[in-house]
Amino acid sequence: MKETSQAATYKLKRDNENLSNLIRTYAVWLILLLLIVIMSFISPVFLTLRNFITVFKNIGPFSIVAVGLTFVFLGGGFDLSQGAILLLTSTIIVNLNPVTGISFVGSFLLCLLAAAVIGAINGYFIGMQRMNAFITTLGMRYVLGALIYIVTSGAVISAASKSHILEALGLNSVFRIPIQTIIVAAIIIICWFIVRFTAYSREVKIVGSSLFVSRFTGLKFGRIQLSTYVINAVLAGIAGILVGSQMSYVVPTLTWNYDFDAITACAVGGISLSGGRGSIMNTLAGVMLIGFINNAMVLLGLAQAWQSIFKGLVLLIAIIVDMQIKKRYE
Amino acid sequence: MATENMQNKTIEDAYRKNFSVLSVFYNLRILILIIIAIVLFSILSKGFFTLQTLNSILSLMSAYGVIAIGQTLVILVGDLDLSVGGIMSISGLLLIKMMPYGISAAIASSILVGLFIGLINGLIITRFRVNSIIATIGMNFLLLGIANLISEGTIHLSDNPVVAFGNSVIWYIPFIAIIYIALMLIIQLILKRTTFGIKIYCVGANRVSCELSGINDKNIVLLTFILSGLFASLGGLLYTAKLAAASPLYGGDVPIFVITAVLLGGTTLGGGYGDSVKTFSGILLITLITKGLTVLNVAAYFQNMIIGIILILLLFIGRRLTARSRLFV
Repeated sequence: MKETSQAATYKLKRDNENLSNLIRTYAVWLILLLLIVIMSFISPVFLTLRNFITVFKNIGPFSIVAVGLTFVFLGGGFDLSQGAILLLTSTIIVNLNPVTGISFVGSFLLCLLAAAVIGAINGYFIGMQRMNAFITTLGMRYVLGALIYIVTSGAVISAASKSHILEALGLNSVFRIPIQTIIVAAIIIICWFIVRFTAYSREVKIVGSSLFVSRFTGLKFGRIQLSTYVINAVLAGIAGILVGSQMSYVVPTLTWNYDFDAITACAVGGISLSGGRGSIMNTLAGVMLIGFINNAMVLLGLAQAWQSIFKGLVLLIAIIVDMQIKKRYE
Repeated sequence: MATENMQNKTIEDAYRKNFSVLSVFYNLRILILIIIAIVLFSILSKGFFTLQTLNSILSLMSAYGVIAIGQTLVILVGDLDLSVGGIMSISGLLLIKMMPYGISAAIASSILVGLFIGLINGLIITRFRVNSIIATIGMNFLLLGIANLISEGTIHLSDNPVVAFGNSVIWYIPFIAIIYIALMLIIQLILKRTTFGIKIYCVGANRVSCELSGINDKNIVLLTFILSGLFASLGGLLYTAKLAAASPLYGGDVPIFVITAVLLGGTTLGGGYGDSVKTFSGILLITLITKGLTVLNVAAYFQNMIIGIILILLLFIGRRLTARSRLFV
């Protein structure tokens, strides 16, 4: 008798958890849909292919950064250095080719290598040495600032003489869809597949949700956390290359707030900062919500200030609603 | 019983091993670094070891220092406040915009706005149990937007008693530095000598045990966020009084800078350990390095790089030292 009632309670609890997960997963998509419907009534330009292509092109690099951050969050980490990694690779890719004559592929590989090394250093300190993620990546952000200075000599770089492949990457499109967007989509699909279907992502989630448990199940938690930082850094590096291909010039302090934007997107999408919970689709929803809000602000002719205000409001409302749903069902 | 004794013995051994010369040096690390910095810069540049430098270092550090006091309190309870930049921008802008209505009205409005934003931050974080990093990032976006609405660019203030106050000195010591040091000492006394201070440490160390022993941990956290808002707006006031100008851009990098100073001083993220004098030493070290390297014509990025390397290295050394005393890391 007791056992059955216990089983019933467990079942109820499990159902509630499923329901709460369901609501949390689809709440962001619903808000996104609502925004799109409202905007298509207000603005005649909004619901056109051209506008959507613009939005997706704008959020491209930013969405890759957010996807990378999702891996770190799933592993229970934190990263403040992606903005700096992005800026570093974007300056390298723009600068290296005209100055030294290294081919595009060479500079591309060099960028990825640099990003991976930075991620591995972060991951070594945080994963292996168990240092605080916030402080380590904060320090790394300062160090990378100086590296960017070395690459640019502190000046605004003109990308007038950038290589043809890089320019094609920034400007060309296939069937009206920009090449950039196709690359971004491919990367996101690969990451989605990794998080959804592989054993590796389970391990990352276990490490993120409880270091204690992962230690007793025999997982090499240090290495797993290190790998999340490497993935994150490489994705930020790719995003930097895309940014570099879009820009006609690179300012050394251009993209410092990419990391705060990426944290915002993850939080709006419902990725838990304490680790172990979240998916790539949720991050993508958060990124798209922010991208479409920015687009709506531009179409409505509101100033830059209002973009910032709405971004803050959406973030605050999203996390409060998220916590309310969580409290109610668990 | 036997195993327990053995365990105690092992822990004792570990502690004895840990009490090495290195760990004594580690505990005095910031003092040593400050002395090294002073000696090094005095040797490298002739004009460094003067009262003029003392004056400029004190006036450089005090506005950010006041903000760092509030940040210390928030970090002590185990949270982070990333909205101090927005609060500082808004309070500076309000001070100048409200000046036509009288000095007291201007000062009161900019302090009240800081208190109000701190209250909202605290309410969101304690009542809804939201992660403080995300909540204050959202608040910072909101506040920087509002600051941009108040004024699009830099606005100036001239011929005003506030500016005169911000730039006056008593024997090479700026007034604003005296205010900063007084505030820092008051907070230090509150932290070490009052029940409120002890409750802050308690909440930072272990929230559950605080709740069980009858401390209202939510109210303590709420109070620290209100104080952080207050100190951020005071910092904005001092900054504006010194520069005689305010801009929505001034608050941009402040949260990161202030958190760096607090962590460099030795206050730990996660709460329960640290105080405002530690933060004072942290911000003094950063300002010394910045000032010394500026005199030596080193670019700002490299100054930041040195600060970043010191931050990571100190954390790394501390980690290696404590790893030996901890049996289960």
